[in-house]
Amino acid sequence: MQHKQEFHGFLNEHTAIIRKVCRLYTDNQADFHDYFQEVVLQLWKSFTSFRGEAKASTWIYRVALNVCLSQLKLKKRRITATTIDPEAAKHWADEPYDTTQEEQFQRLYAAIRQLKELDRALILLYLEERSYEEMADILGMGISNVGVRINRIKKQLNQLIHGRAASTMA
Amino acid sequence: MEELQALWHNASDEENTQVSKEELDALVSQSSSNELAKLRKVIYLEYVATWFVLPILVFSMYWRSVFPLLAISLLVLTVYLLYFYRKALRQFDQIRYEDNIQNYLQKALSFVKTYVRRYKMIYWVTIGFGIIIGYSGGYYSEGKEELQFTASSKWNLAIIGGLVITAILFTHFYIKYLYQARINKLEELLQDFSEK
Repeated sequence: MQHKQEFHGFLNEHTAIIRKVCRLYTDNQADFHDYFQEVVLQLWKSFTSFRGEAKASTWIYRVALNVCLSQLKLKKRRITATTIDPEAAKHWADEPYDTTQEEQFQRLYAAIRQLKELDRALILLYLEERSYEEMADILGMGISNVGVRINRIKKQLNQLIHGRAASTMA
Repeated sequence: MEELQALWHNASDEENTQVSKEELDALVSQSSSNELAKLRKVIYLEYVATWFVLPILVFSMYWRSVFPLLAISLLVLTVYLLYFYRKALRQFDQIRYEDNIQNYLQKALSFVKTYVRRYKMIYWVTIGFGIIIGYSGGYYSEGKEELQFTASSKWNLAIIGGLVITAILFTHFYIKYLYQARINKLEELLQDFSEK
């Protein structure tokens, strides 16, 4: 019981990480809920084995990304901003906030979802301001490879966002 | 990119929605949708079933050795299957979600490939034993009346053979449809790691 309480506190401390990872690999609420549930379940199962050898955030990123990548649907789906139902997207947020920001945020998610799966993970970690060392550690890549790829993805993401909505993102 | 990072962090409040104790109870009490774990269950069941087959085989060989060569081949195959399933289960146990992504994907790919190989092994072994039984049946038919193939039974044999081949073809394409896409996806993801 105490163990569960401890996990509950831990989960709420890091829930944003899990939600963001799940959102990047899903384009509808049903999938999002499934992925979120699976990530929480796997974190709960391995919570006892987590002894703080790695940073808590590193551990969560690894579990969440591994779960999402292994849950990926087989269909090749490239998501564009127009495929996202704004009404459905609004329900994702529990608290209403600035509409312009909401649109920008959804556009950012939509642009990231157009990237390859691995690139999505990299840009997520970049936006979360993780160091290259931590990114390399989470993904199992070389640091130099991380740097090269991040530069390429940044350019790609800028093109995706500015190409479609220069007025809002500039 | 700085404005994107700022936007990302501003949106964090929305993502910080807390999980209530009731929600947590519901989340952890639901069954996992982990596909790899489901494959592991199948392998485990087959592993246990193979253990049951082993003593039955040994007993049958001792009790009535009709085709000694076939019986020995079956015994060797069963022992190999036990080794194969054990290896597959160990392979699964090495898959850890807290591993780095590349390692995790490599291990997952290797496990799924083993799982698919098991199907292929089963149907090739079925064909192999079908041929051995057919050949042995013909060979022993000279002296043993109960094993003779009459002209009419050749038709039955052809029908059974046809059904077996159909089942094998069906299984082959079913596997291809069901698992090959996943294998390709995992390979594609892993290949992505080596690209710059």
